[in-house]
Amino acid sequence: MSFKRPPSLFWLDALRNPALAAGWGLPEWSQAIRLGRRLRLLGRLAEALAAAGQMQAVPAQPQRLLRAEMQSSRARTAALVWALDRAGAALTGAPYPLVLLKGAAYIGQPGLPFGRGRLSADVDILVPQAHIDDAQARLTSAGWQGVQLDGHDDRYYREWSHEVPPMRHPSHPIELDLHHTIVPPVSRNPVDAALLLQRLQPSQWPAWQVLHPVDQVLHSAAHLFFDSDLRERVRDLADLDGLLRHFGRDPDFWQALPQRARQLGLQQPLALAVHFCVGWFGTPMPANTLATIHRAGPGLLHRAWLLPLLAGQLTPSPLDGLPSPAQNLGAHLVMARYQVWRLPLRMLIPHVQHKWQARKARMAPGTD
Amino acid sequence: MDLAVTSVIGSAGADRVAQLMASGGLFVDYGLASLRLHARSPSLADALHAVYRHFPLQAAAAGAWADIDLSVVPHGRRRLSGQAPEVRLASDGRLIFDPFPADHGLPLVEWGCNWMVAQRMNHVLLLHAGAVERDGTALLLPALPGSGKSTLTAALALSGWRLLSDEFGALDPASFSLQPVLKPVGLKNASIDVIRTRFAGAELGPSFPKTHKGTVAHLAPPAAAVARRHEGARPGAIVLPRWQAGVATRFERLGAHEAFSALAFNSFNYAVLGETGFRAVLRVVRECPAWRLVYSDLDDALATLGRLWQDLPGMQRAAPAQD
Amino acid sequence: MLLVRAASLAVEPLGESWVFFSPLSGETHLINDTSAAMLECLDASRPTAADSVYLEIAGLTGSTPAEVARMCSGYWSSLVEAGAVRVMLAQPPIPSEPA
Repeated sequence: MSFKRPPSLFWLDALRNPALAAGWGLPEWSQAIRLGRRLRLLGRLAEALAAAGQMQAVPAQPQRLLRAEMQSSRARTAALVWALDRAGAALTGAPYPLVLLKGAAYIGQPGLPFGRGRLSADVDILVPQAHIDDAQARLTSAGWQGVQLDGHDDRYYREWSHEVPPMRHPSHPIELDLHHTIVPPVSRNPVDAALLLQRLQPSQWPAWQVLHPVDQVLHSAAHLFFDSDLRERVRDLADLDGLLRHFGRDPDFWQALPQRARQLGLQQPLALAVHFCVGWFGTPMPANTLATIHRAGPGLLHRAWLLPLLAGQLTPSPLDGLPSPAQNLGAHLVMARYQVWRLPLRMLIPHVQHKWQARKARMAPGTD
Repeated sequence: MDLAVTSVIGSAGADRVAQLMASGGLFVDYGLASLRLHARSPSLADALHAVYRHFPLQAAAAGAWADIDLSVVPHGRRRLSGQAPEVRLASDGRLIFDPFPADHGLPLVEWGCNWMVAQRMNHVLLLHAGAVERDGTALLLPALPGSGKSTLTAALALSGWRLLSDEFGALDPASFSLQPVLKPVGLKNASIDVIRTRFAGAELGPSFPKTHKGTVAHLAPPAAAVARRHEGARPGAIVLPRWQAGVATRFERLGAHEAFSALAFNSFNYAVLGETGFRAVLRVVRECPAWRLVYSDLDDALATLGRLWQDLPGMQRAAPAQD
Repeated sequence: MLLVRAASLAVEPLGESWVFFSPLSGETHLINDTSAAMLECLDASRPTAADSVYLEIAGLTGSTPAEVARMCSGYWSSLVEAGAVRVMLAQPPIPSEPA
């Protein structure tokens, strides 16, 4: 039932079992490093090798590049941690929870091994919708500034989407993305953020909390499979595999996962996530949980075209070529599905119309 | 090494270069980093033949290692509208940079390769500086805008100094040694003629008039520098050059804090190296005296630096470990 | 205001001035003697009141604490933003309640 992993991704197994890399020659290392870098998994591979004491055994040429990548990802992670420190200071005393999402949450839970080696450019933060203006105001007075958007896009972000425009600070290379829910509220499958906020967990930093483990998995699955561009987002699958392996050590987790997916209306993305995690990463999970999740996922007819489409998108294009026309076409199909899913039709037309007009204006002669 | 070395590029000929680029790729070893280059372009082959003439002709054998993979790929269907053909650079399946005119392949490849080195080689500290070696010690020439660093570096490379790099002061913090990143020296506009006129033996490649920096041409690294591109050198002194029309030569000692700024805040990856980078720059400025060299006469500048190099061992004995 | 020096802050003399690197922020700054003295008067493990810093510097330089305060008090926020100094809150933060 599961799709086989593309051969070019053989090296993914070394993420969870670094000793496997001991058998690689230079051609395998070249593939792993070049593709790993493009898929933003190189830092994680390097950290996994280092943590397992396998780095010294890596041949000299790939070893240099692995060490160089670790340097980059550690510097980037330190910058992220510092940005969170300053943003947290700006939000001190706010009478509402401050929740880290995705990468920032993984870094904020030191027990998660795959949190190391990330190259993040932004931090995703969730606050309750009622308080989002207050959070923005506090950040603004500490020097964070919203990226300039025109009126329509700004409204799109605030009312229609789950994000406000990203915020930047002159002292930090990291962008802050403020959310009030985990999927767009005007979508066909809205998620009630209040349910998420009831089950928050501490992070390693007093100012910040994270979602419940089951909700972290569901958010990651929704973020990947409800998003517009799945091209090569193997890292998101690797994150999901990491989350499932880590939190899956607790047997209660497997009970709770399908139940919570039903409660939040996220059964489809969970089924898709599990399909690819098992197929490409060999993620272990109890057979009955797997069956329950599959039953609640897309129907057989839907599956027949959806799974190959998604697999094609997720599969990396060859290293010595460029993205194939088929992959580009597939990306457009997924983009269409995403827009339909995200916005009710009446809102979709003005939004698409607006984006097209903006692009036309930018392309007019006399502009850059 | 499993790469077949038959001759140097200069004697093998441009056709051979074109052949390798169009099949498995041309392999180039710069010292710190290596490149595998794919392209179908006779004009690029001609340019490479000129500026890499002393490098060994090496095919990128299947299964051999290269740090950087670049492909020059045709861009668009402009020929229909009468516009000149363009090319783009791709690496590991991704397009990087905006299109260049198809006959400007060499500047595109040189800049693309520099960008890759700056992005990837974070296991060493990459200062933005020219670096040359003489008598076993290296001179660092920090590349501040308008400094004329490349012109001076090229002149030194043609005056008995060994060229390590015109762009990267690649310092290995562990060994405290500058590693060569030996690439053709990029010269711009007036400095092309300065070097051509002053140095009869200067091996210059073709001029490219349409770049965003004006006209650029490249100086082929001399054979002796190519032969020793795996030999590092310990930094001995820092000189901040500034060419200024009509001015008399001034050679002024700089304080450690000025030298520190010129190196740390003008580096490709200082921020990425964190405390390691901080300590490495600190060590450089404490062990290496620094000067500003303002000049209009190139020969006088060369003579000044020659004298400095004679005096330097005495200076180091007299005043070790500066604050 | 209670202040703590950032852990692992590296402060080094550099010719006539000073330079610090903060592992917290990743920033490097060239600083003058005054700022170096301010950092020198702080400890990484034990909070120090700003007034004690002014007093200590006054004792070393022969100025009055008030003069030192006027000169120095404006620098603290830059040092905090640069990751060299941490401010200890006088009271613990209000615990956040779910919305």
